[in-house]
Amino acid sequence: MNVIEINHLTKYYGKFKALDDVSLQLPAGRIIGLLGKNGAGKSTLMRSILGYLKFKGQISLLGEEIHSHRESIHKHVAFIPDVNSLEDRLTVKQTLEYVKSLNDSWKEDKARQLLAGSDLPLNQKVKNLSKGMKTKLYLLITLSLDVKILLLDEPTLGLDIIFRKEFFNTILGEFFDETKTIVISTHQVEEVEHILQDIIFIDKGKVVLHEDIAELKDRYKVLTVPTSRKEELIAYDPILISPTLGNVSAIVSKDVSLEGAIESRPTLSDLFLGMVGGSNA
Amino acid sequence: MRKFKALLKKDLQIGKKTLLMPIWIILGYYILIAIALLIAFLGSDLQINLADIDFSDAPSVHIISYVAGLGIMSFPVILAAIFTLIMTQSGLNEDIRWNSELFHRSQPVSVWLRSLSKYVSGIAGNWLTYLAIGLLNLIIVVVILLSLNQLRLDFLLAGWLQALVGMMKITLIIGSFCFLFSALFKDKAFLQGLAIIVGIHFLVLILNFLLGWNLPLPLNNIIHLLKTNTIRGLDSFVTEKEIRHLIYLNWQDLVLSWRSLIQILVSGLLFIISTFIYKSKEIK
Repeated sequence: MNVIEINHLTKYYGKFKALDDVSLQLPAGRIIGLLGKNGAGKSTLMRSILGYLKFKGQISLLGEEIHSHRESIHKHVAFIPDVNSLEDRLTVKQTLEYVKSLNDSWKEDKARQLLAGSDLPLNQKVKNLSKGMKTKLYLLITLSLDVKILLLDEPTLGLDIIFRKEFFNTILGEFFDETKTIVISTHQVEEVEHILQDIIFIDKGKVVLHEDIAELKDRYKVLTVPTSRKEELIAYDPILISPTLGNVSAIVSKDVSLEGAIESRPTLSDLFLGMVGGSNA
Repeated sequence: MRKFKALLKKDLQIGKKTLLMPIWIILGYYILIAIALLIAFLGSDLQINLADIDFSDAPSVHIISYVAGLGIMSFPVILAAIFTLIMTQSGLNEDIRWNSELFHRSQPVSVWLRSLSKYVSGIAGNWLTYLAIGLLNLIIVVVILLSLNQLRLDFLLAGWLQALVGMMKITLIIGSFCFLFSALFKDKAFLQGLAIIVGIHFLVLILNFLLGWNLPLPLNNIIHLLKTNTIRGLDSFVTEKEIRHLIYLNWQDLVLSWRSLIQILVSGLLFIISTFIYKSKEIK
């Protein structure tokens, strides 16, 4: 069953086309990565799904047609936006009490467990927290909700590497089961790659690719040869070719084989660079 | 109801400083007066013997008490109006300005309920502040009138309550207009809203003049909406019976008049329009 269905979604900001005829079907029980350069349309896509933005096309979320924002969807959908949008004027404690009072899906035990593992100062105003602390608070709130869909737009922005790893390896894993769907938009694709099941590449408002990651990686391989053999690689029409120390690597179709070349599996960021290009992924 | 309580609690926590400001201003004002009196008393400049004050030519004790009741709320009403304006002109745009709109919108709670909580905290929150100031003033005036032997508590309370209700109505109208402005404009909502009303007012004036029309003038109507008739020609009310009648007339005007009904309806309409505009805005 698809929890999110998008058909011919187009969104303009003035004359700028932020999303261009996007169609996607996202099934339940998957962890999906959304990868694109800055301004590619990732945040616009997430905000359109939640009905925050006006758009052309059809969006269905958990079977409900989305035409405008409806608060009832947040009984089943939690969202962390890419900007730090917590209420700065409340304390950490007041924020937790506020969210708890408004959400029937609040899991107190989970919240306590996450709070115990964090170093969040309860009586401090949110505005006085560091960016990393604010993100931790937002994650704590979101992961304490028993929802079916989690939309995370750059969720670990500002966090140190230790917490980022803990979040992706442990916390998110505890939240996830086969009934839930997580959509993560992130720049730190290397850190999240191992937990993702599906990937969406988005560029200039268009979906370039939506595929199971394992299947995607099985379609390609990386061949590395000394720089002097670069022309041999080019002959196989690689999607990406990049120099390394004394060598040159290329992403080519899995059917290609080249004598003496070192073979390896491509990473997501390599594939993204190959398919979308640019250096801002 | 649980969700509304949570919203109200949050809005009051956020607006606490602004809501308490009039109380600190009034307290500071009284402390300054107390210090001045103390200095004058210690310097022996102050020679007041309350028993020596001659009230033979003064109005009746009833009118003194009634007018004192009305009068002790006159200064706080300006504060209440200013702080209602401050609170409500940011009612629906402050979360956008503070960048927390997405956080609040991502909660499973109706936009109408969120808007109502902001409306109530901005307007009724100031009523509570005004009530607290009014009670303080009432106590002070009771002590003064008692010491002057000029107290009729029922008349004093009637004046005080009528001033309180009058203030509630004025701030309801001011607050509702500012609330609408907060839905329309992100920054300096009151000034921008006022500029538009003044602009429309002059446009209508010009049209009426040039085309001989008789279109209603917005500013005149708003001022009319804010009016209360609580202070009538007091000279014609002298005896206790006449003042009781005056109080009765004022209650009718304050509570049971067409103007009151229109004031409430207009405020309700402004709230609905404000929330509708707010709800239909995109959150970028």
